[in-house]
Amino acid sequence: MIIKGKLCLLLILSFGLLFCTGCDKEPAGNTENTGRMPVIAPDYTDVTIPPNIAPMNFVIREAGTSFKVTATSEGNKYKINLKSSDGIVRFPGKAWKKIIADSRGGRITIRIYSSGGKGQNPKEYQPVYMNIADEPVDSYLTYRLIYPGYYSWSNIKIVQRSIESFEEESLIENQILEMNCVNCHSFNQYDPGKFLVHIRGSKGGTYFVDDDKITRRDLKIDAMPGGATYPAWHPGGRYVAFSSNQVRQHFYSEPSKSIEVFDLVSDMILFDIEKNDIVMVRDADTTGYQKTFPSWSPDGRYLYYCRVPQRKYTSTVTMEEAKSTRYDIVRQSFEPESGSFGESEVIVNASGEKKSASFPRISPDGRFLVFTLHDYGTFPMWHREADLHILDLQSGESRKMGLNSNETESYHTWSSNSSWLVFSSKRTDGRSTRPFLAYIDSQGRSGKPFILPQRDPLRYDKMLESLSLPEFVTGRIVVSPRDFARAAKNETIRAIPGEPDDSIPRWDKLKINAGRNPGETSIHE
Amino acid sequence: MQGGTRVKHRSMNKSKDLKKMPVKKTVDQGLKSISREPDAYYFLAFFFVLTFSYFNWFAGYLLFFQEQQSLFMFSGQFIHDFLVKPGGLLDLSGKFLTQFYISKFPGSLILAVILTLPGIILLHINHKLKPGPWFSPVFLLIPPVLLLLMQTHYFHLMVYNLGFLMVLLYFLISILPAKKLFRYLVLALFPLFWYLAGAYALIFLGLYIIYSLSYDKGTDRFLYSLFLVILAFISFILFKGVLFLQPPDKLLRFPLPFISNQGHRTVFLLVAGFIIVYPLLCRFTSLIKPGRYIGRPFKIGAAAIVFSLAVILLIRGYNTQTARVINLERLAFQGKWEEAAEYQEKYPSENQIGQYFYNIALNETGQLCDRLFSGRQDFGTGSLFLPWSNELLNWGAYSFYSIGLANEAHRWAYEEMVVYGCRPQNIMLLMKTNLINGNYNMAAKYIGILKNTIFYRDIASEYEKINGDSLKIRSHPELGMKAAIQPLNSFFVFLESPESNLPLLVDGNPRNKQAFEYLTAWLLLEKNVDIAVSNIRLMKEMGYTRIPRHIEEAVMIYYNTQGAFPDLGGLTISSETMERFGQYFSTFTSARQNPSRLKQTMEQNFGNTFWYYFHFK
Repeated sequence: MIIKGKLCLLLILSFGLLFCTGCDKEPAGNTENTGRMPVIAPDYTDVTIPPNIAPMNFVIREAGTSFKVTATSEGNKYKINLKSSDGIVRFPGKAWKKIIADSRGGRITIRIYSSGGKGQNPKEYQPVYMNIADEPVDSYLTYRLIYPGYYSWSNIKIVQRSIESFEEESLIENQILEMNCVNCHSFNQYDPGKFLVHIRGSKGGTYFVDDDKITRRDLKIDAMPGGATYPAWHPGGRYVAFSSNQVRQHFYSEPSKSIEVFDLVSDMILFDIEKNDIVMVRDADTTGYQKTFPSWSPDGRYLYYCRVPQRKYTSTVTMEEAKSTRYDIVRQSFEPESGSFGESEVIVNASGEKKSASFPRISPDGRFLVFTLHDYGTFPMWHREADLHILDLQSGESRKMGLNSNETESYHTWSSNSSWLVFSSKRTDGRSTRPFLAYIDSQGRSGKPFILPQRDPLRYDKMLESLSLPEFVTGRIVVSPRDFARAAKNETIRAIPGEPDDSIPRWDKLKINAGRNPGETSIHE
Repeated sequence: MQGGTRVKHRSMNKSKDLKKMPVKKTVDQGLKSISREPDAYYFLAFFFVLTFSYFNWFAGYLLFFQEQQSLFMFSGQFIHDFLVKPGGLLDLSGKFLTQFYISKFPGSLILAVILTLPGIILLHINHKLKPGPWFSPVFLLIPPVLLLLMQTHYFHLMVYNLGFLMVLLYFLISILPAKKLFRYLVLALFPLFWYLAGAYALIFLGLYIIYSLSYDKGTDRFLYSLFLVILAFISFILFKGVLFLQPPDKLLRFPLPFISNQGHRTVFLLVAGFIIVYPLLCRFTSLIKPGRYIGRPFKIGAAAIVFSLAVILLIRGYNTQTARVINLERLAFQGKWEEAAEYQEKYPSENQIGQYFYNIALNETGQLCDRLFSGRQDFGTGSLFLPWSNELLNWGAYSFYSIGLANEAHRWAYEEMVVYGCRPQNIMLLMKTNLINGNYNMAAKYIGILKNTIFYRDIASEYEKINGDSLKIRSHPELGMKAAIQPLNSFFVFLESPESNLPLLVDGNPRNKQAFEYLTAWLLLEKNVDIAVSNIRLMKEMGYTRIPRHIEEAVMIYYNTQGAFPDLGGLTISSETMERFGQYFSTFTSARQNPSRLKQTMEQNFGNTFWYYFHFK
């Protein structure tokens, strides 16, 4: 019995040794060195990734009937060996965690071999390196899953995705909200328990989540041109700045362009959660401005936003007017104690460069401001030339970032430790936005960006929907779609004007609300 | 079979005959069944033939229309979306079968089988329920016939037939077990049944309660029903609160056929109501004893009445105008433009969509201003562009595609995809417009979608070969032509007044004859002769060697009122048109003597001219 047991053990060990050594071996036969990088998709060559990212699965786009992949950690302590017949490479989760932990501050080396069949020499490619940063990224990302369409919408979901794994779950699904539109989810300091989201339609309102409590609010006073639109939480958590926009769309005839989104009118408001009141953000400058895309400085002392001189009130805009609309980025000082604003000053004079700026976002450490720059207009998502630029708030130096492509880059968010940027890019197919992450060093330089990895690396090829408005969150959000459905049954709490003047209608709504295009609804208001 | 040889069962030697027994037993049972109810099988066979013939030779347009409502894709994500809601699998099955409607023969065959199956299942149910023998063959005809009548509505999809089929099948399974335990076990599968069949489970619920109350004895009649009701309640709570993200009204309605048509709704209530009270009807009729000699004639007579009513209602339900529009649509989608134009002229559609496709067919074949008035024009300019609405999304793109505004055609097709999901034509149009616009990555996605289907993968493969190659696209007969007439100037598309895009298209790309003729057709339909003829001076430079007939006719009207010809830009009016105008004038002069017949006379002789339209429409 003992002898038999030992024999079994010996056999098992021998088999295991054979298996492992067999795996360690290079492919049999003479390996032909191609001398070039393999073509893989997504392109993860030389990217810089956080140490807590999910496996960076990819597909090998080289000819071959079988592929062998070895991934080795920086310290050579861990190795993953994989075989694939179709080129799809999926790293096992636990093994990936080990290999990436061992490579922190260094890099993972990935070697790829392809074989064409019997009698053919396997090919070897130059190694693919993935650099592992020291700094982790926030563990969750939220985004909206929606068709990048025109007026109509169908299923819309706000989804949270663990960056450390492939777990994805819905926060809000409009199929149990009477197919209302859901947009503009915004978090208070990356806190998964404190955020807001707009719902437009029969269940309309701005829904504030405070841990497990959801409050449905109506943020509209007469002085506002439209509903509360683009949000920005004050760091203190008491205030939320919103732009209030009357949004319209025009469609291009020329093949190279698609949609022009513009504001007929827009203004800026400050909502006080404690007092449930709204005040208009004003300054001493008597020039009327259209204001949009609010964003706070990390210390809460400045409100940044984009502005352009108010155009005349018409229900439409000509091509010439659209192309001459150029926004600057300004900031206004703010006293959180009194809730009052000071004077505004121009921070990015984009119009002076015959450009237009949008989405100012300041890093949590207060050092950099990243914004989108494009030729004209207010909504860069449909501008192919839109790129991300970075402004060093200490030196005042501004430059175009290295992470841009020939397609749209826009809607960016900093991670809570200022080391990562997630942004929306249309570089994969020119129409659908995908979340790309990029490492930002202390000098504001970016690493090569990479697309959010998926369990199935071919997922993006098949998807028609956009993953838009990516926002980092530091933990898992616990509210569920059913919680929102329940909250939607509650009466809305209507905000009140914070100042007497603000109860007077300031906008000629009749004139402005006229002339909607067929099929256009006020989903942005 | 009556009067035939009865099949006898010999005693079984289990060891020898075990392999043969199951098949033989089934055949024996089947033959026994036929011998008991030969009339029922004859009736069902007749129904099958009637149904197949109706759809294969008369109502094939319904198959085309329904096949176009969805695209069945063999992909994980597509199938996954059906798994996450009760009734989704039923819907998926319906869509799977509907894809075979692409061809009339298999489509008619599938429909005939599916519509006949309820009758066959009821036959087996009747072996348990034992309705009066006079009535049994007729009873089992009623649901198939009612479903057939519902099927004449173009939005009555396959899923609705499958739902009733599932109800009857589950009911048959639930009444087969003799032992109580097995009956409870089968009923315990009710939550699974609800997941599979959706709200059709509620019809089953009603049916089973009636059955139990009518056929079970003692407290069993209440216990079975109570058990089922409790299960239904628990299922509803679980589905709503835990398992699925469906709102309550969807759980209770999907995928029942709530079509906005009173007649269809009435028949649906009839068939659902008939099925629910079926056990009660069987119970009641079982008390009626058949007479020896009048039983069979009664059965045949009753069946004849049912079939006659069915045929009458089928004939009445056949809408010629609907058939014409859908047939036109089919020809248009297949790109058979000349056939489409001839079809409309031979079988005129009075429908706006039909006349819209006729105009597009003429535009695609370069005959719009030659033949516009050879077909009905009852909607004026309303048949050149369709107004924006969800109901018209699947058609409105084609006018823009025809005039060279691919961006706008893309927008309509995209909106349709968002609202209604992937359909063959919207994906095809999205693929084509992206190829034309050079968006090859997006084109690849749509090609990928079509390649995941059975019947569109070949055509997708053809386009895949040219994707990314601008030279091949420019030399493609359809795409190349469309690419050549795309706007070279940039403007915001006019949405409320789509005709305003036409002058900009013509100005921006003088090769765009399609937009020019569309513009001219618009002006002619508006009877705006002055502006219509003022554009003739541009025609020679655009490549025209002659003036299209209706434009010549407009010139003659202009000449008649102004006393001079407009600038023809080097082109001339044909002698035929001048002569014909002379005839028109003299006919008009003499016919005017009889005002009551003037219009009729002029229509008979000149109905296909702009002159007639100008003066009489």
